Amino acid sequence: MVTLIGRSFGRIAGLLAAILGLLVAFQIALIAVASSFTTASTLDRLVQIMPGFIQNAFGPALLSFAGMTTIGYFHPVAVMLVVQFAIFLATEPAGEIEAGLVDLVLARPLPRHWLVSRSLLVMTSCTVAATLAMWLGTWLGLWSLAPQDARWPDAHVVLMLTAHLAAVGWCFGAAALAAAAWARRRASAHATVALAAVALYLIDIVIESWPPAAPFARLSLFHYFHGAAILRGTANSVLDLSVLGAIALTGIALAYWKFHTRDL
Amino acid sequence: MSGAAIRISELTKYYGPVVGVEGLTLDVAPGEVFGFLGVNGAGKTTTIRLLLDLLRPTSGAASILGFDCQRQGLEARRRIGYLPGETPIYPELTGAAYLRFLSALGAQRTSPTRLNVLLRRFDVSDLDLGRRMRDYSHGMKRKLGLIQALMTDAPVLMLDEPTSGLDPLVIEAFGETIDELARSGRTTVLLSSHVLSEVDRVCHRIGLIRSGRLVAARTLSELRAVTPRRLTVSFTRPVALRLPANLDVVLVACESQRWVIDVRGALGPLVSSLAGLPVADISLAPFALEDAILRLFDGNEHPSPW
Repeated sequence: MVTLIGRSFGRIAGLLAAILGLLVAFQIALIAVASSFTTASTLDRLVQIMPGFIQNAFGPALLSFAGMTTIGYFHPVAVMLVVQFAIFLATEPAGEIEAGLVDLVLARPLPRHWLVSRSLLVMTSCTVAATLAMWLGTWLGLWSLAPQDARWPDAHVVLMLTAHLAAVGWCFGAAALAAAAWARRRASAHATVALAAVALYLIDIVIESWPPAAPFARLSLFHYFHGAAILRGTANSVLDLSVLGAIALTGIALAYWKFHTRDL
Repeated sequence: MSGAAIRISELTKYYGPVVGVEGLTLDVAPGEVFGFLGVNGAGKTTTIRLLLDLLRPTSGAASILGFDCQRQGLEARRRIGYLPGETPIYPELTGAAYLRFLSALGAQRTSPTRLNVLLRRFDVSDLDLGRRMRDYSHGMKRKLGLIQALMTDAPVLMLDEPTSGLDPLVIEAFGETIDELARSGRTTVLLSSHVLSEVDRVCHRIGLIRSGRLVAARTLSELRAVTPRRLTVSFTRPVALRLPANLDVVLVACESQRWVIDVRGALGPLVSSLAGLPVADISLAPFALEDAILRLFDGNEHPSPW
């Protein structure tokens, strides 16, 4: 198993380093911007020129230095980067089937489920690493760039944002793992789940902005990760994380079952 | 056959409405080199992938050295060296790293001595091993594929189209390797191919598979015995046709000074019958496996008297 995991990390080492570096840099840059606005006392004016739907999405994040430094955790680009990376990593088994590598590996005395376990471990650890990179970027940025009198974000809030981001990434990764267990081509599994993630994100925006669609809010996984609600303290994090965890576990169970029973 | 190294019993695999293999029953004895012959899509690779538990059978069973390929798949695969039909690679790995990785996944560590012998035999240099596989030619990938299958000294080897894409020197080296394994008697080889010369060169016995069904499984000597060979007899002067009725022969052409005859089985009685005739020359076409195979694959659904 260690050999398989090492091989997977060997294949993605460059990409992983680039993504982690990007997320750390993004958080530091965001804090630099927040510091600039705070020093110039222009946060109020910034909020006034923002369209309503952005104010709705980011809520209190735009009203204070502490809030603004946490925008990265639920900014669409950062969220999609983490989610899409998790999806990419989890579809490795389909890639191995497509390339015939599964013949080479499973002709050795290795249980089939090791390939699923390996991808699950790699996907989980990289998702956690991505969110920890944001955490690291946050504190590095705060230590080096925060104005002296600015109030830092609450550690518990940052922890909750990190946990939600990791959970959403893990959830889509688990869905991708299940898709990969069915697919013969990596691109099929990847495209299906990646497009679903984008579609669900857009649906969530529509539902949040359009009250008649509110009854369907729970259909989108992103409903269970609203950064603004976490900042306001109105999110039910235990419920949200439980739902995301349950969906992820269902995907993982399906992946194990299908990969065990299918033709490779 | 008791104690078969590879035992396949009524193995069937359907891909939806498509037959992969159907009712395949076959035993391969320990130490035997068995050639699995058939046209593309006949079911050779499907059979091998069923033995490796990469495919789940629709029905039937198979075992390797007594270990059921499905229920005891790990134990079975612990005893197998496998070369896939297409050599899959990790493009970013060097050849050396590729072999190290596969060796680490195997049941037993690869002996450096054995690996060096194989590298020399298949003409893979240190320079080759240091290059990334994405830069390899098809033949070089194939050589690495062969080496990874042979390096663990597994008691059962499954080689899917082993010589495709190899140059004649490497094909010869491959033949020598299989000959050595056959002489040692410790390794059972199941080799799929549609290259008759390859099978003729290295196999003790061949199985002919067609449309997922085993048409025949014979030793080469059995095939020789039942496959007619063409005998041409020339005379110094015209002679009348005079052949004993009890011979298994077919007269292909009869001219006044030349007979062309297809003979099945021993030649002695026919040669004896020529005694006293003014024979100028006798030529016998060598046994050609192609002829034997073509007789089976001649388009009849129920080929062969054998």
